[in-house]
Amino acid sequence: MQWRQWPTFAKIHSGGPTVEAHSRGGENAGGHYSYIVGGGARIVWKLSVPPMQTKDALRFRAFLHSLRGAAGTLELVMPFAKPLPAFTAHFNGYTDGTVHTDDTAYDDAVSYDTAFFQSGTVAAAAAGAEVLSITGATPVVGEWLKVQTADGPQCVRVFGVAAPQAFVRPRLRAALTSSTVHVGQVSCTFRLVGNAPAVPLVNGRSLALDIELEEAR
Amino acid sequence: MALNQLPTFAHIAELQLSIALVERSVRRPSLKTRGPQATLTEMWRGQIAFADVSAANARVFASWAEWQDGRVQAFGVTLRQGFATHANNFAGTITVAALPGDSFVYLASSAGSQSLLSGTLLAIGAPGAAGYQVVELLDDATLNSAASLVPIAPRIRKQTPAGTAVAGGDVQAALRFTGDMPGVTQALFRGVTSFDVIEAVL
Repeated sequence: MQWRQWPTFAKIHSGGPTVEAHSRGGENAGGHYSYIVGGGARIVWKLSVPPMQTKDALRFRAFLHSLRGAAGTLELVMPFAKPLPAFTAHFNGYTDGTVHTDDTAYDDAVSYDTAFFQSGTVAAAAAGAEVLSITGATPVVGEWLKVQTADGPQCVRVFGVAAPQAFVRPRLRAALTSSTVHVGQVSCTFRLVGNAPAVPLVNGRSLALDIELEEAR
Repeated sequence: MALNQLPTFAHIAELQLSIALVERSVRRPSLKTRGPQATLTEMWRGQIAFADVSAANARVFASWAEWQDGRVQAFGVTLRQGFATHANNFAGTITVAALPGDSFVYLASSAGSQSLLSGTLLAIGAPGAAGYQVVELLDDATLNSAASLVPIAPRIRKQTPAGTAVAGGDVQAALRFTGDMPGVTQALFRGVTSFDVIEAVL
């Protein structure tokens, strides 16, 4: 099934998305065709789902099976570059002179003074581009963007900003025309890598399990 | 033909069953958009770990496992409500013949309106009979005497005529070992074992 939503009762315990490129190096980057199938680097995500009560575990098992292996897709909201106030304690920082190992001052203050979701406009860009010109929004390093390419939506992560330019990875897998870009709290489309993992059932609950995902498009 | 049953002293401690695309072609593994084609692509498979048994029962268990003759003999494992499936007392029938490869069935309840949660296991046909299959409901559904289309997994493997009985509650999975018989480890006063299993096509 396409576009399944991640069940609200299933929490994500740990793990973060990364950009994987070793077997999808982009156009002409690999010798054998199988290394460039898929059009280039993409996001992979190995996440851990904590134990659930049996009722939810069975529903989660059905959710995984509804994806029918790697054929179906699911939507997941990407982690924030900046933490949400509602979820994050606001530290004031140590005051005891604690320093890092390089003698710089320790500062664990959390800043969330930028918007968590913005919409802007991205200028036209060619397939393979890793520099986007964005107006109307201010991405920060580490944030996820979602753009509409000729092949559908693609999520990219910002690794540098020199306004109005944002440097992103993975490279665009298809060209895009000037259009809306979403910054921050974006959802991306994934599919399972391989078969659905089994949900381990014990008396009264399930055990934790890991799930491997790959960006769908 | 009735399925061999697990010994009564065999209690499941941990169940890991999922649906695998076991017959999926390996010739084009990179083509992710290709959906399952063959009717045998989706099958239950996994591992069952059993609670410890006494040394005497361990010997019986080992002999029972040997009786299954590796992958040859199918056996029945009861998947109980509240553990492997949601508690329910569904009884009904298939109202429109299901065809091989179908990812849905038309179901009607014969016991009034019944609400089933996704993850509920349903047994289509009689355990051990040709075409018997255990499927999982993929979405919540409220079923009554009128036919409702419900998504299921695994896909239907053999043509199933209208009127075939479908039952919920405790369902019986028809399984086989994935290889030679598993060993039952025997310690001084007890025995432990776990089975790697795959669905038996009947």
